[in-house]
Amino acid sequence: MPITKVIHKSERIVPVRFARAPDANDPSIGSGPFGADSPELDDRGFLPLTTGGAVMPVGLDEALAITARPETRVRLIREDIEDAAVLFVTTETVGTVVVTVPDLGTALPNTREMMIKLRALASGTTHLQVRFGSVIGPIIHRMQVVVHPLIDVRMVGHAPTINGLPVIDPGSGDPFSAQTTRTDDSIRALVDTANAIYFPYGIRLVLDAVIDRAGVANLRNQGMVNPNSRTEFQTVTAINRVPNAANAYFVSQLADGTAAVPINTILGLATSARRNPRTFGLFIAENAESGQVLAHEMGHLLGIINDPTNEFLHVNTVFDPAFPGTGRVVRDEIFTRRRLLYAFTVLEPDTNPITHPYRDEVGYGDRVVGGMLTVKQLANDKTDQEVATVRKAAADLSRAPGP
Amino acid sequence: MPEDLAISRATGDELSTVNRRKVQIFFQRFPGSVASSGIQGLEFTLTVGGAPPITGTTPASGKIELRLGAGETATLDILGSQYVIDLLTGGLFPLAQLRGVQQRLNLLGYHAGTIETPVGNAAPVLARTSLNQNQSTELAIVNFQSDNNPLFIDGVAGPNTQSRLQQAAQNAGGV
Repeated sequence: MPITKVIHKSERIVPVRFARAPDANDPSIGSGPFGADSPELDDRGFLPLTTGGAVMPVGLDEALAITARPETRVRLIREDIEDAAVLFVTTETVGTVVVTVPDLGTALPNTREMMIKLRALASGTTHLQVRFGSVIGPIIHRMQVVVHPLIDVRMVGHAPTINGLPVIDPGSGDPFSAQTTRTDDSIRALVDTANAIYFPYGIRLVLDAVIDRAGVANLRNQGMVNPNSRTEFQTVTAINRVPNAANAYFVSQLADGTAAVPINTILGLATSARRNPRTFGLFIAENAESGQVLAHEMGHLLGIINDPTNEFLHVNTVFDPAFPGTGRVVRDEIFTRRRLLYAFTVLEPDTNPITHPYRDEVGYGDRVVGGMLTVKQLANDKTDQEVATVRKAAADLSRAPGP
Repeated sequence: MPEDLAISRATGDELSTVNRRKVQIFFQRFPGSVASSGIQGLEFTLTVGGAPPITGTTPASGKIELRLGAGETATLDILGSQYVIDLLTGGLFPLAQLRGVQQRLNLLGYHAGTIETPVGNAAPVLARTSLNQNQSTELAIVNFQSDNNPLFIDGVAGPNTQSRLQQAAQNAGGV
């Protein structure tokens, strides 16, 4: 079907682009859960050209035989080219990744959205190239692929008993329980989700076989750790602490029992291992339903923060009292919502059709916050290269000497 | 006669191009106007109006140039696709309007999506708000801001982004 162009004086035609592939088989699906094999792309802008548009992170488990390594997938979308156009995908170099779908020398399908799968061979950087007509035809688009070898980070799960004054949960009418009600399996499920987010960046959380449930702390309120109290934080993170590991404490509430830090508002809390070498750790509250929260807090533990320079805070729209959602004092565009470290709060439903309800869906499901770490270095974004930061911290943690 | 169509006469173009505007189409790997982004070596066939087809191959810039009059249609066969090209004779919408931002992003290759059309007697949506913006437009703005230091990346085409966008569109020969 011909493509109509109404041009004033000039137009730049960019035929295709890459996008995350949430579904393993259907490239027309643009939304779905976190997957170790369906990484989020860092597709902020297209410069510098040496990078080559978007950047795709790929995890590499060198312990696995090449054929046993998982396939990583990405979609290619025809934006300004007919479905009938014959396209091929090649790699810039050999030895870093191998394309497994489509088969070698086979054209991509004649559909708007196309699936490409590849397998990591070795650590390094290369480009996927989209060619027209043949495997040696003109390159019409490309994307950088960065293969990260795995760094294992030991994680120790704790479910301590927090004694103190009972505080009534208005939802149930009963006091918050002194110990989390999470089961070992539910904790493992959170770690699995976090690993799905971190695998493309070459980080794997290895949870101890036994969840420590023996610890006891006496704090102000039963089942609660006050996120504003350094003393309470350090008291709990000292419980059965294992050195050279990410000690994760699962508790009922991160609150102080007053309106100052209300219940059910803070899902997780963590401190940086580099800045707090003796006391670092992370907390997950009962109301954190997704492993995305655990992944987010691991980001903090590994040295990245929500707003490095306060430039994150920004009035992104002109406030109009008639339209809820405008005038938010937080960086809030849809791309930022895809980022792991943006999501320090849940996405709010935006039911007003005149604002931007499309921001409720950032590619992982309705009001599911994202899992992307930035790979690119942009001159105008101080939150860049998060991957380099977390990989350095993970490497330091994994090789730290024992006590 | 629109002013921009009269320019070709004033600059002394040959008779056959009188009342025809020069139109440039660039086939590129990425949006923007960085010359090295051009796709070289694409064979094409161009037919303007009832004239005989012209064949060629794109240079390093990926540029194909033609002259097109109001009401005239060109057909460009390239990349296994057919592009039907018409002239936008009324000029671009103002940058202060969201649709003006969308037009400029699209001409730069940022895929801002469908141009916003005011419903009934409604006033055009202003560019500086994100109201009525769609996902494609917001992503295009974020991408443009990312490529244009030192714009703050917020997905909203405020005054600084509008100014930079106008400059980029002019540099790209689109305005």
